[in-house]
Amino acid sequence: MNSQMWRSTNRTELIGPELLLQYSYTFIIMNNKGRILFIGPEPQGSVIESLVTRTVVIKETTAEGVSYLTNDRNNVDCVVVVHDPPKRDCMSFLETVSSEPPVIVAPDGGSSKLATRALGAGATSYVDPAAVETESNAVVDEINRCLSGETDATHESHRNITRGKREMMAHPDGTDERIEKVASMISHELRNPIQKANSGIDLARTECESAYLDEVAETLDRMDQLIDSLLDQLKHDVITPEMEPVDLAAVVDDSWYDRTSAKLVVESPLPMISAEETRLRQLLENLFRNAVEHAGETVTIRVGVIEPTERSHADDSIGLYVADDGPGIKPAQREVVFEYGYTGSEDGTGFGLGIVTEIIEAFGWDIIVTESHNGGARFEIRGIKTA
Amino acid sequence: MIDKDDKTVLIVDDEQMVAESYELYLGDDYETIVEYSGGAALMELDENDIDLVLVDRRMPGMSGDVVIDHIEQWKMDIQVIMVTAVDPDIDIIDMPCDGYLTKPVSETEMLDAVERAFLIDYYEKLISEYNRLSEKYEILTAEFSSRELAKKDRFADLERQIEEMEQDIADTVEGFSDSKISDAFRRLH
Repeated sequence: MNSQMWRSTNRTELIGPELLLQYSYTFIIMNNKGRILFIGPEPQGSVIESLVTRTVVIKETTAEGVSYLTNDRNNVDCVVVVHDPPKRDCMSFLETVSSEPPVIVAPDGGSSKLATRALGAGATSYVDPAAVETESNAVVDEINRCLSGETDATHESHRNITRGKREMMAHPDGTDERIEKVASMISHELRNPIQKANSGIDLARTECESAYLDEVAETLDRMDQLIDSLLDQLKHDVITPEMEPVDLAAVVDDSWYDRTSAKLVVESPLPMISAEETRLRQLLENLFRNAVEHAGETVTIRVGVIEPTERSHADDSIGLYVADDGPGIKPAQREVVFEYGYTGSEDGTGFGLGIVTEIIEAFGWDIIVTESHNGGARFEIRGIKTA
Repeated sequence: MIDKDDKTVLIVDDEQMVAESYELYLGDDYETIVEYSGGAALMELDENDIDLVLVDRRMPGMSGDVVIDHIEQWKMDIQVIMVTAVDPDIDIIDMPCDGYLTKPVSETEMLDAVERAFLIDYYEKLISEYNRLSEKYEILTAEFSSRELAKKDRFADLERQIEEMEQDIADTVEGFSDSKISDAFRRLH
């Protein structure tokens, strides 16, 4: 599983440098010595000073700030850098102090290329003035969080983002604020351009017909799916399901998407089972989408309960199959299809069945792929407890 | 039922092309007004009768959050749908909006969301009116005997009105394409 996570994280890295984020403040957290160094306009620094209980040293330019920090580093707890080049350039500042402790970036919600670069240079957190009512208060909140040590635990994970997602999970409860922020950035900075491109395609269609527009639309749809999968991986690194009685028939029905001419046939009554509904729906959606991607939009997908064997009778579990009438999966590929990054389809993202495998493992179930009675793919899930 | 032609939708997105595409999606069914900033949207709300606002959450200057906070503070009877590229978080519980769409949004998704918001608004108004009539019905039936009430045409009108509203409510609930919402409404009745 770790090697699979590596692969998915590496995909994130490929996208990361292309993210466009802007920020206005950069924080550098030092040891708990007392002062806050504010590099920015005097009036703004004074407002910050009036809101915190510590001494705020205000420097108007990056050069002055770096100079102060170089000479008096031990007396500084936290540095706030306003980005207003050329007078105040947080990138220049970060590059100068890049070997220092945690850095926090605060994007302002507009153009945000710089924030991504700053994150890469070691920034720790950021404030987004577009998402807050009072910018100064938000900056102070961030300072307080930094000084209280809340971000210390995440700093190392930030620095080591390339080491893999599991290593980034710094908090005991399995959540990482920074992962949330990165996910939010990816979400915002990639989905917005996709929306814009889709809007352009729809507007262009009112003026002309072109197969190229359809192709671009399909490509954007794939990108959107990829981003969804990527975000899901970022946010839900370790699946810890809460099993409860779930109406399998209802979830199968909910999971089915009828945007294509594909057909779903439920071949036997589906029982109440023990599962986490959200994850079960995600599992089934991925299996259904996988079938449509590989077998085409006219595929017929059959779902039913696998007749209990003696063994399954003994442990009170049932099986479920999801079979299609597509081209099937060659025996040599039946193991690798579950790995992240593997795709046998031009439209595939390589995430779908990897996610399925993770959920199956978290539920304590097993999954294999075999051949359906008409030569298509047949996924068999076993070990499902009835409820 | 809802007369779509009478409804005006205010579209607010700082990306002109995105806003124009929303206008394209909704233009056949609703009156549309487009603004490219939160500030301009508030001015539009002040000057025109708007039924629904479709607002981008993150915009330069005044964000969508601030726009919908103003709508809440001004106690405007307007349906609000937030459109954003950011996945919904737990904070949407406190957000004064009637719908939340995650970009990219297709024409179908947008039309469904707008229709659902208007349907919910219509349903709420129906229920409010139904409760008002039911209260009067209760008072009158407690005050007069059924024989006395049978002689009063106005009471017969009231009974007919209540029956029609019950049917209208049932039809409205059926109109929700999302099975979860319609299931929830059925459980309420």
